Amino acid sequence: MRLDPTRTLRSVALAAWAGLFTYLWLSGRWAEFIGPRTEWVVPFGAIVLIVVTVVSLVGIRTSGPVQRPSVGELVSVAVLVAPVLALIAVPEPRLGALAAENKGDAAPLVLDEDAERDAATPADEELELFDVVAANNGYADTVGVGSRVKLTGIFRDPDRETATSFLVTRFRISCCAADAQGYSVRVEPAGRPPKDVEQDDWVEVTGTMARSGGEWIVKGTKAREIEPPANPYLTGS
Amino acid sequence: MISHVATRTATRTASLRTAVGRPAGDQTIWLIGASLLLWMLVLRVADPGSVAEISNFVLVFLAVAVEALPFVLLGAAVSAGIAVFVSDRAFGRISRLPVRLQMPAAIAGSLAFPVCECGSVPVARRLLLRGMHPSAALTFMLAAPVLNPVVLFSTYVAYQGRAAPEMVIGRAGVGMIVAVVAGLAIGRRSERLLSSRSQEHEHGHDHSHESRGKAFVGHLTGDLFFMGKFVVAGAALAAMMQTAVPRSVIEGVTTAPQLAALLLMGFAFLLSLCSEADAFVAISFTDFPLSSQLAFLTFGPVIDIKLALLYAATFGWAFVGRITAVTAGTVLVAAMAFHALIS
Repeated sequence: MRLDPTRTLRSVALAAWAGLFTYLWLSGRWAEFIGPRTEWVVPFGAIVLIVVTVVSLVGIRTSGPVQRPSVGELVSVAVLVAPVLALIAVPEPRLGALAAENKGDAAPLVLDEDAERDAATPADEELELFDVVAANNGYADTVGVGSRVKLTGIFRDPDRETATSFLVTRFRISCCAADAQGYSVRVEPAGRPPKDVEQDDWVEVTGTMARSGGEWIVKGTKAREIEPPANPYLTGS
Repeated sequence: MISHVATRTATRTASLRTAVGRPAGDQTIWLIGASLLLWMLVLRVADPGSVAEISNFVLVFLAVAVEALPFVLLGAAVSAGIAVFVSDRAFGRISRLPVRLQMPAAIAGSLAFPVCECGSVPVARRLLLRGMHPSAALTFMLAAPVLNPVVLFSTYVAYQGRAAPEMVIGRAGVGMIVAVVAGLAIGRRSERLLSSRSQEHEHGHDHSHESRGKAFVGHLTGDLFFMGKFVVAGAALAAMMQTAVPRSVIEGVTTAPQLAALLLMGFAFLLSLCSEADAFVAISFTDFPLSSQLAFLTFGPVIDIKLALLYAATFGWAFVGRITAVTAGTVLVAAMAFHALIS
């Protein structure tokens, strides 16, 4: 009995994919790529691929004549495992300012009844990024000047040298990161934007709501760099 | 002169096919393996994730590939189940039905198969092989990604407060029209082509001597390998488009409804979004009329970069050209009718 090279190669490719899905599932990193609507694909893929890999490995020995895999087969397998190799090469890919600029800012959706309830919340409750975005689109009538705000998101500074404000952006995904939509809030800091924070870094900004040129903005009192959260997205249905 | 060029091209293509199909020598194997390893080392040292374009590309690439592959698995599993567990007699009865009866069965089947478009392609191919009329198999393949409850519910949620019932009915209606028109127009004319291309892939996949379990896994892995590489290639192209093409290229353009519909159809092709999420992207095109957003929602699930590669592998490039032309024409006419109705 000898190893069949083609079946062995295919088993290796299946094992690579099974490993990828299992890693994403057990580490929780699937949330960086997949939305809540389709999160079931990760455990489903992991389990099915493990089973298929095991069955494939059982059949890699053959008593018959063996033939080397063709060039086409080698290239096919290389293409198939390219995503696994991509994650090894770029272990922490992220959406940032480039994606926000490419996709533009989305109009917010009223995610659920709580959003309408939040509109009636008195201004003394601390607001978040989506509350400010909703206010800019007329969803929250009672959010007033001076309401306290705490934003976390991606730092975007279009023009560091001359700008007196910066943007904080979060993305919202539904099925996967490909359908990500960006939501941004303008922050006018007390003083210059933080020096040690760079484009695409995650920041936490505290401040108060203000009006500027017909737009709700945040008058920042404090901004600091933070670690990206395990789930970087706002999620909704 | 033209025949000389055609002969040379055919010879080169045949040579390429022979080169790709011949067993790989030691040198080739070592070269491919060493190239991959070197590429990985270079990338780890160079820290490509610090480059915004590469980081964005890898994230979208992985997201699309990870989301799509399980649906290909699901479709391959259903296809393998049809191949192994459904008797020839059952399919014989279906294939003897006239086309006008197979078509409604195909529509009904699509309602019961709520998967992404990647999952419906292997099933449609299997239905073709089991004797279903090409028109019915194609109608099933094109209707399943749109006429499913998850997609229609997503559309309703996305358009709440902005003509949600009209968009849901429009999407279901236009989706069904596109599926039937494309199924009839292409299925009838391409019957021989579709059947022969589907059978080509079956060569070397004879599982008749194996147990049902082994045959099931054999068919499943065969379909997975056949389709998976095109899904991955399509994911890479879609990620490239999302990284390189900003939305601003189509914003600010005149909103003449016909041009708006064509532009959003082109964008749907480039973005390659899943039909269960594209409504949330469509609604963000606030400068575009609803009819063009409907065109976006009904063109993308039928043909995009990812699907074009999958169709080409399964049915050939001639099929890709035909389905693009028929779908674009049908969606444009339907979108204009929708525009006239709601204006």
